[in-house]
Amino acid sequence: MKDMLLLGSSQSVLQSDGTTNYSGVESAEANSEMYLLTKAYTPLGPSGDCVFRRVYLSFSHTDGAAFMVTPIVDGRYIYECIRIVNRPPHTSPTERFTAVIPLGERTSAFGNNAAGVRGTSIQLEIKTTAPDHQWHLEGIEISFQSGTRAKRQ
Amino acid sequence: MSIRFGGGLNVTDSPEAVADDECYAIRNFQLQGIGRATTRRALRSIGTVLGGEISGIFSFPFGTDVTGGAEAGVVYIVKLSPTGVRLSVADQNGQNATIVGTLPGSWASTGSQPMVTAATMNGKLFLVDESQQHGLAIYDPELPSGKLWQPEFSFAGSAAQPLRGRVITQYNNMLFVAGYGTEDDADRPEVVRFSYLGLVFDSEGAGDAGDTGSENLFDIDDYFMVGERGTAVVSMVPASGRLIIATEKAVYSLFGYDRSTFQLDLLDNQRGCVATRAMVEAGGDVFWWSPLGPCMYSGGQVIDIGHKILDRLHEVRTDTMFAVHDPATYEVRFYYALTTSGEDPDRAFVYNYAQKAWTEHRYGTDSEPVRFFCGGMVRPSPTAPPAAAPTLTAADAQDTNVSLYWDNGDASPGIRTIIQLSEVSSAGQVNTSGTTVTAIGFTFVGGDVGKYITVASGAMPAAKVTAIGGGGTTATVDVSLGTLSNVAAYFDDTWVDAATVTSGVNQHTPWPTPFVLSPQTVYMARVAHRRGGTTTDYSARGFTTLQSPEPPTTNTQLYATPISISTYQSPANLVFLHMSVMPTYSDNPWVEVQLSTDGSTWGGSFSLFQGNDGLAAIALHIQADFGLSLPYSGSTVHIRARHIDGYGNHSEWISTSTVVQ
Repeated sequence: MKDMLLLGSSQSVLQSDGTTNYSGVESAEANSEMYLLTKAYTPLGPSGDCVFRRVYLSFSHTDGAAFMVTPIVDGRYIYECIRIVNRPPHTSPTERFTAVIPLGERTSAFGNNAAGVRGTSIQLEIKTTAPDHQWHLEGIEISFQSGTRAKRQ
Repeated sequence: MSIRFGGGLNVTDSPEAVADDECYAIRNFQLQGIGRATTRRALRSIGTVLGGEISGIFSFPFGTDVTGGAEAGVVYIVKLSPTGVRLSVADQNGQNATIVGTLPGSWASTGSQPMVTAATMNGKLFLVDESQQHGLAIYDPELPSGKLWQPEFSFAGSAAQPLRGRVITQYNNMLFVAGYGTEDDADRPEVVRFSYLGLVFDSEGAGDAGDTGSENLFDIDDYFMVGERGTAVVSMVPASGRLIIATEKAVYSLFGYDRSTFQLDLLDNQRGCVATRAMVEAGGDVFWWSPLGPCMYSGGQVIDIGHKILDRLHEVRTDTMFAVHDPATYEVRFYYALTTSGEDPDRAFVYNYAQKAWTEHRYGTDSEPVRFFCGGMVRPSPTAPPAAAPTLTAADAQDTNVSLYWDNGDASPGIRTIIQLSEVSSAGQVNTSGTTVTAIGFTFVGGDVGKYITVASGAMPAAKVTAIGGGGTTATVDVSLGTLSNVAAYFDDTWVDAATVTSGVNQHTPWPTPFVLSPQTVYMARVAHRRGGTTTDYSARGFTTLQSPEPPTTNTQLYATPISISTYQSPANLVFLHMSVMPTYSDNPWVEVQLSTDGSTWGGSFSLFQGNDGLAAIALHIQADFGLSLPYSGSTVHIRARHIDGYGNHSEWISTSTVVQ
């Protein structure tokens, strides 16, 4: 039999290894939020000029997944590129999915988008929009080009 | 570029030094495998306790006081409103809780929330209060009544008082209580007292005069001091065969088996422990939160493990911190409250010791605030006894001793092996009255293999009952059967009288049919696994009968005067031997007779009463005459006789002589 971690909360006994869906009646923490902020990646070094093209975010799930990804380039939140990922429950086996997030920046008031975001560093902020499901963040790939090279082209 | 997430949290290093797999924030994720971050599972309410707030949750897989008679798995300590502290026991899922009662003594009248620490030993739960307002309390589920009781001790000769320890633990089958000196000098935070090995009580429990004295739990002189006088022992955790003892300032390692072998080593003089429950064992290592941050000890030196969260240490309120280990996720969690908020922990720094990386938990709110008072790993006992019954075999008997060898089979920690001896009366019934039934209970101690126990005559002192054996190991008992009739019954951690042995506490199969050899006394032995107190789990355990001890190899009073010989002669050359044979208690006995003409060279050996019916024959008082025609007219003939049993053992010769007519 598996060990079980129990915690006490006032009059309630809480089991740490709860169900995957914790937004139901038995929830003890309906408003908790999953939050992950990566380090600031500088693919070409602290002074390297990059054009970040896309983010490939790989995850797996069975019960569905819903989270929001926000790119941050040189400390700036790129709000135009916020992507809400939402996958419905998937019958067994586990679904492995890669969300492709193209990066672009509004360059004028008329909505012109550049193909990529230029900068030195990139971070990703990932947080849940509805903490209903357990899912696994498997890895992230970021495609970029050298900014100097892109300018020459 | 490719990014993974195995490095966890790093809020300390410069951006250039942060590894690619580390994060500036990783909240409510857990690290799995290599490079994978998984949203943690939620907390789920599985029930409530009545009457107050939870003060402590402890694993306790013993007894059947649970509603419905299920096997126990958890005890809840509940601070009642407005006063009192209650103990409830629940099943292995933490449910079906039953109120056992209110803790005795000052626990029953307190209006404040206690900070409880507990230890389990011999199927009993021992509780102390960190604030030392309340004395040591004991929960013994096998007592028919008075399951919650409080012993009192007189260490200095004054009136006995409850033992107000600060922290309690079990190590090497001894109970360790820190923070108490004597009834006259109670506030000795540096003192650690340790109990007798095995810590045996008699059956009466609460209110029994025999249990209120220190002699039944602690030797007056069994204590040691840790660190400077006045420096409190804060936490004690056994790990990897050692007891790690932390004071407010330093941390020590204790190793040994008794007062003469204990060795206390200073591990670190700066990294004590911030709170009693902020230290936990995980996989043989010990983790705790020191004034300098989180630390671990796995042998060798104390290691700081909090480097990557140093910038966050200032936010941690330490006095109410507690640590738990979750082996399912390879995590040690330090639950804490912010220094800027209330005292109830609502978040945790989580150390994944497999990845050597940190994440953190924060808990949301629902209708009821998530407030942690205490948590613990519940390790449910197995749902059934071990599949393999213990085996018991009797070794070659010696004089009046029988050596028993048993194998614990696949017994796991928490399973106790019981060996019982019984004396069968001449009527072929197991004699379960008086003092003729002896039951010996042993507490299983993992890794403590091959200890030796001797059942002494008279009242069996606690020190004589020694923890034995481990699963799949063999241990030896040398039982002096000749003394058993005077040994009080001892059963499964508790001294009991014979009537109790047979009426419910003894929850396993009935006595097997005795193996009756003869009208003489036959001893039997049996062995069983015992878990908690579930009756149905003890059917069809393997029992082994044990033959009576073999006769003595040397003369005893039993054989000293078995025969008397007298002669009378008529007619000439014919000698009649009149032989009076007293009953013996040996197997298949006979009488050997030899003749001699000079008293030194003997020959002509022949036997009397030899045969398979010898037992029945000598059960009676036999007198018989035997005529021998001896061709030694006028000469002296020497005659001698002795008893010989079926094993070749014999008594001394009984001799006489006569002149043949």
